[in-house]
Amino acid sequence: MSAAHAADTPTYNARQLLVPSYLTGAILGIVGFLIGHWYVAQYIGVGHDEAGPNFTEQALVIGYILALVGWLIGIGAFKYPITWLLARREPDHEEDLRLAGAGQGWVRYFRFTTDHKVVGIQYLVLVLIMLGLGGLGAFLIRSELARPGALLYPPNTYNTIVTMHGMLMILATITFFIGPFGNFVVPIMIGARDMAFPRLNALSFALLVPAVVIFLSIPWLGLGQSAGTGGGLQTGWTFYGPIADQTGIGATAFAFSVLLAGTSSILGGINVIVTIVTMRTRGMRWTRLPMTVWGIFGSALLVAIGTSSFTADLFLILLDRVWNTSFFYVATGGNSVGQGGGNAWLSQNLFWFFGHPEVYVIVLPAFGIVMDLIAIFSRKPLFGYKTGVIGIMGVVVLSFLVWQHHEFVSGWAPELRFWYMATTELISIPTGLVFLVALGTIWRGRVWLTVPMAFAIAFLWNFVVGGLTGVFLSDVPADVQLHGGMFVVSHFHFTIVGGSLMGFFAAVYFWFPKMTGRMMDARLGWIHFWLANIGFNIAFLAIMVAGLQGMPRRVADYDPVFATPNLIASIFAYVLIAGVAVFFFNVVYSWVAGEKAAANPWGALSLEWQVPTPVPLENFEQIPVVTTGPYDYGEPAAATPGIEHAAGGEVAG
Amino acid sequence: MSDAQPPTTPPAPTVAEARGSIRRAVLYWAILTVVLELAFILLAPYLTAWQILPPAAGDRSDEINTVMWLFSVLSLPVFAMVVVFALYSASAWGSRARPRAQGPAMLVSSRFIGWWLAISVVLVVFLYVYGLAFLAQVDARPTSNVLRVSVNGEQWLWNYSYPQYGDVGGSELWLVVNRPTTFTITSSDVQHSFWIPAFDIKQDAVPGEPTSISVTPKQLGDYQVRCAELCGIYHSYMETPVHVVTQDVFDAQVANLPPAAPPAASSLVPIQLATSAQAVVPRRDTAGLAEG
Repeated sequence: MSAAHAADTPTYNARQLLVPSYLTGAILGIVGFLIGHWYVAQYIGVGHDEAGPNFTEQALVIGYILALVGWLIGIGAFKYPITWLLARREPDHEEDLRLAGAGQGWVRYFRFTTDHKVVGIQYLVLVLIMLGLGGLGAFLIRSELARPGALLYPPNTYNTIVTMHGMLMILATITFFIGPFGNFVVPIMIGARDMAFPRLNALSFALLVPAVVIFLSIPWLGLGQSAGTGGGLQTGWTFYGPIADQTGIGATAFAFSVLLAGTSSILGGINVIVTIVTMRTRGMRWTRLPMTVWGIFGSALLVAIGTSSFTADLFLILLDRVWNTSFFYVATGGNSVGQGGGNAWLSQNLFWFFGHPEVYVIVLPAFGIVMDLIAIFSRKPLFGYKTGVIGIMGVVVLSFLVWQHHEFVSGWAPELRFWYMATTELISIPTGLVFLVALGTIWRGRVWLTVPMAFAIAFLWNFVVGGLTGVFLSDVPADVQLHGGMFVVSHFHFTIVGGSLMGFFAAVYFWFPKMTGRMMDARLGWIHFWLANIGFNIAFLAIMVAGLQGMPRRVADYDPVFATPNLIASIFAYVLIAGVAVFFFNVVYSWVAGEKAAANPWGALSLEWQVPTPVPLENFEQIPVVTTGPYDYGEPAAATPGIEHAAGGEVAG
Repeated sequence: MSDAQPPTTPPAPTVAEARGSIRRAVLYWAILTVVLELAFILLAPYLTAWQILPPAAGDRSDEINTVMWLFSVLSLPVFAMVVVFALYSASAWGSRARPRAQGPAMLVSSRFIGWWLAISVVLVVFLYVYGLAFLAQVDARPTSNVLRVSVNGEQWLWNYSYPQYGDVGGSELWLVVNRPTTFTITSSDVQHSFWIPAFDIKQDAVPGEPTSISVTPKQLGDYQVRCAELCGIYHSYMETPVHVVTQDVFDAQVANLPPAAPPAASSLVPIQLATSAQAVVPRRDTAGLAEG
């Protein structure tokens, strides 16, 4: 993969390899944390009669802030800005290339590197790690819930696992299209040499790494405190106001790390928006963008606007916890430091104003990718290009107008329910357009049943179940019964796992050859496909039944009346997990020993397949000029591909 | 290439074949829809008996079950359409081999989109109007012969008291069959959610913001209140029984209830299980979890 660059500089000395790198970043990060922690202990703790109620939390937060600074210095994030600021000049082309990792071999993957392809690979690896750990959480959850009774862990440990599974998966899924594919694929797709803001791009990844590290430290925080007081998180990923104020010290780490990850997402989102708006090459009109670009564009719009609301929420919770404000401290009497009089609904509204668009952040790129893949593997133009775009952008607009449906039973603004019920049900119309395009495109196609195509078809099947169960929840009377129960769990897993995660698998199988230079193993891919889909569908249908029965969600233990569906769900969840394990094995195996990929193994027409593999540092020797769209398949119109530099774009190879 | 490549690929479908396939696919769609609908409609009456739906013991339960029944009936054709058209295409024209030719350049017509949108809009409007009709019932509050119950959630108990009966109460809920009941719900610490699945009612208990919901129990029997909002360590054990009894039994029961303890002062302290005065009632074989 790094062969092209290895040729440039055959040798490195140890200093070049290690400084700056993630190793120095980690060392300076730890040093920063210790300094911050020590400083608070020495100078802020002094003067209090005793270490105040939030003393440990303050030490933790100041430590995290200095750790972040140390990490950024250590990986080289400040090196070039300082070089130029002090020299008071713009970097020349060669310096830009060096910042982008030119001539640094594999080390460039372990330091602050601006090349969008390096950042894309970094994101891919991090996202896979997060998915793996989140999947481990799923395994632990289903193991506990296999039978009634507290089988394996005490309830506070279970709640911690549920919370971490939820948030880790959300962070992973929010990132898993915009991160790897928005970075690696989108700039090439639109004919650009890099993202609009390459250093901002590297920064958004650099922020996500410490966020994940801090997040993973949560189970070890507060362990020394007595059982039930400190350890772990009792909040769920929704992290609502009062309980997030009350729960142990892990909540401070949670708030800080998710705040960091949210900031990273906002920066990434803005970068993607600006890149798509401003960096399209000549002839790459809005009507010639591949659907993937539209999906990621819509998703980035939602991230940039919606995540701000959640980061605000987390910031307020952090202030409540660490500096004794009372945004969510509802207690009327006030406590020893005078907190009280907050509002419990504020947190829910800040959260869901982000939380609902957020599910479309996850699914919109999948819409785009699925439409793309179905067109490519059916060898047909999209059934309706503008219809698909209207579908995606319609969801973007509507998704900000529906969040109150998470408050249907909260008692907040019940007089608004009639309106939010309407907007929620309306969102099925643009979603339906996406399905119309997908089904119309596959119809009468020359369907090439590859692994990515299979996952794209599975997306349709699974997501429609998620959509239809969503209709039940959009209806206030039915929601009053189903809200907060396992039915909801089943519903959103059908959209996010059955839908988006299958879309992500499709995308990985599809772009893996371009990103790594190797094909993924198809035989393992099919095993993965069948295990994952059979396991997923049966497991979550069983969970749906448990929800209809009246089983609340996020419970560590349950009434034996729910035993049968839970046992079925656990067994088939293991099947799903086995399938995903095959996928992880396949990624590692194929990356190391997979078959070498041709430049355009799928015969696709979009630009990223017209450049060589591995993709050169600046993507294109000459910036291409686009004269036709990416879907010019079909007889007889597409006898000649319309993209210049496209060597035999028509079903090449 | 990792995909196997047999020497031949299927020939391109002709227009006549395409017409035939649309007829076949629509037929399969119809068949699958009828099969699913029949299976669902025949099995639906037994769902309560098989405990897949909770007992329909509240006055709105039947209506909510009807809503869900109707949504299911309307959902099945949509589900069948996606499945049939996707899988038909994959099986009729799919091949593991790389295609040597291309598909027809079909584009959707505005008339087709018009019909598609029209049908979607009609469905959505129907669902909406139908939901609105029941929304009024969800919000309806009875006015005569109302039993008023104050509900207070605290970690991890439900406390009930009866303002019309001298504020007596306890942690088990007693209701009168066929007597309209209005709950006023609040919380001492964090959010909880007051859910009685058998009555199809749910309302969050929000600290500092009293909420309310009404129901009329229709069947004698014992049911469960379950907390539906993650509220801390013992969230899953925050369940208490509901006894629906006749007015006579209720009167006798209430006469024996002690005065309800005043709701705990609204407080939010770090949980100290070891010293907590709040009893955690293990309702199943999970002894050893309760500390208080």
